[in-house]
Amino acid sequence: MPDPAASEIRRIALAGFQLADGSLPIGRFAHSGGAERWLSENPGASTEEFEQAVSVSLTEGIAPLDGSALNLAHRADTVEQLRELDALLTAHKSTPASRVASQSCGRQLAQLAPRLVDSDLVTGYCTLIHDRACEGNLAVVEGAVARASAISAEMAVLISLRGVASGMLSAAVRLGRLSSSNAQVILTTLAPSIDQATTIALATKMGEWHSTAPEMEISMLSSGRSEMSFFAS
Amino acid sequence: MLRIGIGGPVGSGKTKLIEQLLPALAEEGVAVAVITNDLVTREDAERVRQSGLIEPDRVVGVETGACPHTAIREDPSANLEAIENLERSCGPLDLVLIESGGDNLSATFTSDLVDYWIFVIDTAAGDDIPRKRGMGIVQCDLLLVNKTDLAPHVGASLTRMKEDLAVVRPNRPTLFTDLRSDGAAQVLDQLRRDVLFVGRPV
Repeated sequence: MPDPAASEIRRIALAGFQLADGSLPIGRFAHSGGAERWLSENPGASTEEFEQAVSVSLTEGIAPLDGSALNLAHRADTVEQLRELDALLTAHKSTPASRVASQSCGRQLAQLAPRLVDSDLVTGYCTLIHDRACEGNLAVVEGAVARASAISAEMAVLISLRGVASGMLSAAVRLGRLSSSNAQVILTTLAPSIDQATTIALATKMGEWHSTAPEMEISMLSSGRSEMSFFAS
Repeated sequence: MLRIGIGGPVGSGKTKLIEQLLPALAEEGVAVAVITNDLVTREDAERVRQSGLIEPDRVVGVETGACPHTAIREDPSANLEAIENLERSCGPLDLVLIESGGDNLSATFTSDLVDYWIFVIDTAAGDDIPRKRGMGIVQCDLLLVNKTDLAPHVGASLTRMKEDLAVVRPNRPTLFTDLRSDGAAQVLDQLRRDVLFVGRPV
């Protein structure tokens, strides 16, 4: 006998896998989250030092800002609430490169989202993004899409933060600074940091938003001025 | 708006093709924009911008995250965004030329990004290239074998290349060109026949 509850769990899991999938075509491959510049400025950095930089970026930079925004977007009931979160998130992003990365990928997900989920809220918000009536930051779009897919807020934040870590490691692989097998090992080693970052994201309220991972942020800032780069950020 | 991709290995003549097509298209009043996908620098974009052949703000360089083939095949998001931004800033466009960064013979364009795509190889890379059946060579809508003038100097047999290509892509067009002289004219003729501006005297 088919178990409807089990089927529903599997359906939700599949939706989560899709959001986490590196083949989701939203342009994440073009952004290194500051990793490219950081690696360039630290040519002798060890694997452990890079891992530490990624960890700090997750817990101090991404989680208390984008992670929290995703969590709150997941709980939003109206398009207006999503629009406000979106605008506020843009205002909190301190570097042009971080704004470009967030909005570039968010806008692409917003184009795809109405074909992935059946939700008036998502469609309404994505229409605003398409019409340039709001910015379309990735975290806010992810939160709205995750909710429409019945993915829990906790899981959606976990998926997103894991994606950030994976993206930075993948950038290091493509830059020839990390082997692909080592990247997978580090991703496993980073699990406690991703878990901690998820806890921080879920606990951070809108009025407490901050992003203070200066090393990686300075790298993002200078990456915008670089004439020689593989990545857009 | 028509979107044409131009791919091929480094140094095969992709940017030269664009430089040759732009004046002819401008002469006919076709509103064109160019997107380049460079590896590390924005060299190709700057070269086209500074060519005087097109308004500089109609040329955009896209960073490819070290993978030009990803930006034109697996995930064309960055290029799609660039097209959208060009349309917003430059007004309605008739044609966008999207140049891939120099890549290997297996690079292909997704139909999410382009309506038609050209692959450019050159004789100096060896006359055995067609036989390798790279996906770019086999699947492109139009193949250019460029730098025919160099063939005798590098020991490449054009006859052999033609014979191999007749086998590898029997039902798709291939042109042998020297884009430093007048090769673009025959490319334009082919584009007219295949996709460009039906009914328009380009």
